[in-house]
Amino acid sequence: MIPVLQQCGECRQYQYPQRNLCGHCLGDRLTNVPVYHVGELVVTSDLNHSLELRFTQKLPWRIGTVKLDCGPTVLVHIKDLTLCPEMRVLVKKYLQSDGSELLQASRQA
Amino acid sequence: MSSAIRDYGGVAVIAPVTVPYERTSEYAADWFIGSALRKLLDQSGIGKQALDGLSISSFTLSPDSPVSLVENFGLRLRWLEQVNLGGASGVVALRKAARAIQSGDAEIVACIGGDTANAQSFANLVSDFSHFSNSAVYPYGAAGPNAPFSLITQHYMDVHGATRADFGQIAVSQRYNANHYPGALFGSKTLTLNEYLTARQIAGPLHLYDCVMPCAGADAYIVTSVERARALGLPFAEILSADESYNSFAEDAIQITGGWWQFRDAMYDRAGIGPEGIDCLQTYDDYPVIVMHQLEGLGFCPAGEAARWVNSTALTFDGDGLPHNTNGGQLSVGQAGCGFLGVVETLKQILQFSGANQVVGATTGLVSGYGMVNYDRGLCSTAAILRRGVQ
Repeated sequence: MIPVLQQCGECRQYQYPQRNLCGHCLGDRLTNVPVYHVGELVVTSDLNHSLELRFTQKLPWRIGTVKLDCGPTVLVHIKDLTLCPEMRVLVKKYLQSDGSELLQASRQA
Repeated sequence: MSSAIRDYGGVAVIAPVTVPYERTSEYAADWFIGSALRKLLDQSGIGKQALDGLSISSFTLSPDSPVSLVENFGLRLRWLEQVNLGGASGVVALRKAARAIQSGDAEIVACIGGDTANAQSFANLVSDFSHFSNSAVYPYGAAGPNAPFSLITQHYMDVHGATRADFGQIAVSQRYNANHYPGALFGSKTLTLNEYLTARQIAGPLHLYDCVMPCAGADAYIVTSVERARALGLPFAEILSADESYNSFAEDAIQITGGWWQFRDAMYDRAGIGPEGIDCLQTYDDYPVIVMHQLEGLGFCPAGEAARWVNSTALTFDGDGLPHNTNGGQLSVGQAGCGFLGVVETLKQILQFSGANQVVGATTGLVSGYGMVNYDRGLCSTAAILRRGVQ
């Protein structure tokens, strides 16, 4: 699925996480732009403990930090365990079984 | 800009007290905060009616507010403050109260950081910590602060070559200090480097002894004038210098340091001493990597060198290096009270109130704060240099 990032209609900056005003110019003309974003995988970590049962059966569960070329830094889920820091990655959105949406990094084609 | 900061002349900090930490408690936060207040009054000899200012920091006071406590404890005040900045609150409360004394807005301010803890309090806190965290961190594994700090720690290891054994030096030395401080929750348990290294994995490089244990307890101190402290015949500390910084280095893709770099040179200039003049250091140790950030950011070692520095510098209260987190820090004492632990421990050390863990001859201490992971990094960085005043 195509992820959605907020973009400011005035200064054109992208931002994440979602907020009600632009973090750069404080304008409120924000639009949700559906686009695949690319960036660099900065670091990864495997979670071995969770506070919620819905995750405990999935552990270890890998997360990572991606610095997007368009500016923001996003926390992502990583299913492809061959991904390493400094790799170029594509950030997509996927639907979990409980209906929630998460960002996920995958290898850039 | 920071060089224009006025000094804290005429301000005295007295009566550092601790309400013993407990893993969990059936009491609410008001019990711990009120019990700390009673200890403050007992230790200082100040009557409740003479108190005219109160500063409160707590993660677990809700639905009450500080003014609820004013009624609850039968106080009459003219100055009331709430500092909700997590691990930065202890130093921030100190600065605000000091300015209240200097301006004449208050004469005697009780500063208290206190929390309760139960099976649900921590889970409730981290599952609804901030809008950013709720939408963009918690859904990724529901791991609480361990998730972002595992990434920060792993990145530090990747970039600087730090190892788990390096972080272990911090945890093990703090446990040694805690073994000499009866108030530490883990004070009766020793910790070897091998036990640290073989502990249960929590998140990435973080294992059991890298993570603080949320608990119940309170720490507190009183801020007043030097004149009053002398009149009361009480040992007191003066604030040589202090500062704070928020959202520094926001452009970094991941946290590699904190805001201490922004103000440390000016802070040392105003204090008239450098890192070499510090007899004991209390850093905010929610995770060992953040201790390393503080050691570097506060000038105790160059950037990226903390992992090597902790291997060549004794961190125990009775070593020949730099006594650090001399009661065991949060890693061994427990986490309650929003960063007041380090301020109160600094005061106890330089006023010679400590027991078996007393740093011999300590007169000057530095305490740093850190906190509030709104999204993927701690946003608050604080520090204060305190020195025992001449009675």
